Amino acid sequence: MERRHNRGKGTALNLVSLMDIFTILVFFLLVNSSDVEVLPNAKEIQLPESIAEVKAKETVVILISETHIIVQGTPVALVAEIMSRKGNDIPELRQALKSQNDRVLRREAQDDIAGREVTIMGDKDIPYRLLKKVMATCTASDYGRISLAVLQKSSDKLGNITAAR
Amino acid sequence: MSMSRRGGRYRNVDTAELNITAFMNLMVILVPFLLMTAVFSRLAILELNLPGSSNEPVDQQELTFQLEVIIRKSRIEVGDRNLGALGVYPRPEGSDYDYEALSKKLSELKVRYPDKTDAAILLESDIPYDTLVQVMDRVRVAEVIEEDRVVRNDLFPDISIGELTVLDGGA
Repeated sequence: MERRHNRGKGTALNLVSLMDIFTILVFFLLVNSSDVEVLPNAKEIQLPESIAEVKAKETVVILISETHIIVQGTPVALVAEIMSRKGNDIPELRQALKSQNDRVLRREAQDDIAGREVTIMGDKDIPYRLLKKVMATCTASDYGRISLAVLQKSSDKLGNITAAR
Repeated sequence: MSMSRRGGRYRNVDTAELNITAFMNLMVILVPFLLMTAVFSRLAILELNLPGSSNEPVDQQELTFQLEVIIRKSRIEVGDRNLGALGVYPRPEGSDYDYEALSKKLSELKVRYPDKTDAAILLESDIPYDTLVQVMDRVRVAEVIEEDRVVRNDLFPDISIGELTVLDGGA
């Protein structure tokens, strides 16, 4: 015990490099996380990739996975059921969208029906038929502006440039 | 006086004893927390402007250039609603659509109709969402390499989407 104590005092642990790393890491992460993510982090679906640069806004979010349709975190309908149905209307979804009206919508958008926005996060493998039904229900529920959420990717041609060098 | 005394004390001690325990605690907590919340995939949105359910009058179909991009299982067609197809890009067997050729054709059309900003994408109901997004990308912007940089030129950013009846056999 005595001996260990003596030795510890003699050779202090050198923490300088560790502190350097931590400081840099903390600042990097703080800067990185400064822009607030509006859309929920959906691990169960794979969004398509796009070169779009428009940032997501605070809107009602409809998530279409391979099995469920989820509005603002609550599942409302089964995909298989919808696909077997004829016609474009999804009553469950319309019900859910109507009940969102006052909670999430921007204040100025509450009165302006055409200005209401909805963001659709769809798995990249869903067929257009399903997407069309969801979009048709959105417009029927007075959500005039629809946005499609995508994963941002850098340009394909950047690879060509670096390859050419 | 005091300055010199402190300096003298530091010279005698081999390592400066700064108490960094509190700082280290903070860092140890902060780093895992920030790492967990950090988002490395950036999300963006594509905006669509669809007509609302209100009874707006449908604008008159004038005999002007109405760009249509038609996505079928076997090919992509670029055309004018009034004149018909301007370009057909068949999908090679077992691979993806020919987006490069589509992009090139749309750039040419933009040169011919510089004021045109809207386009319609018509697709069969079995086309995956991913394909739609890829085509929308090509219709919205064209990427050109200029002096080692990728420059994005706006083509037809106002996109509307419509459905197409599936052709049997393919005309």
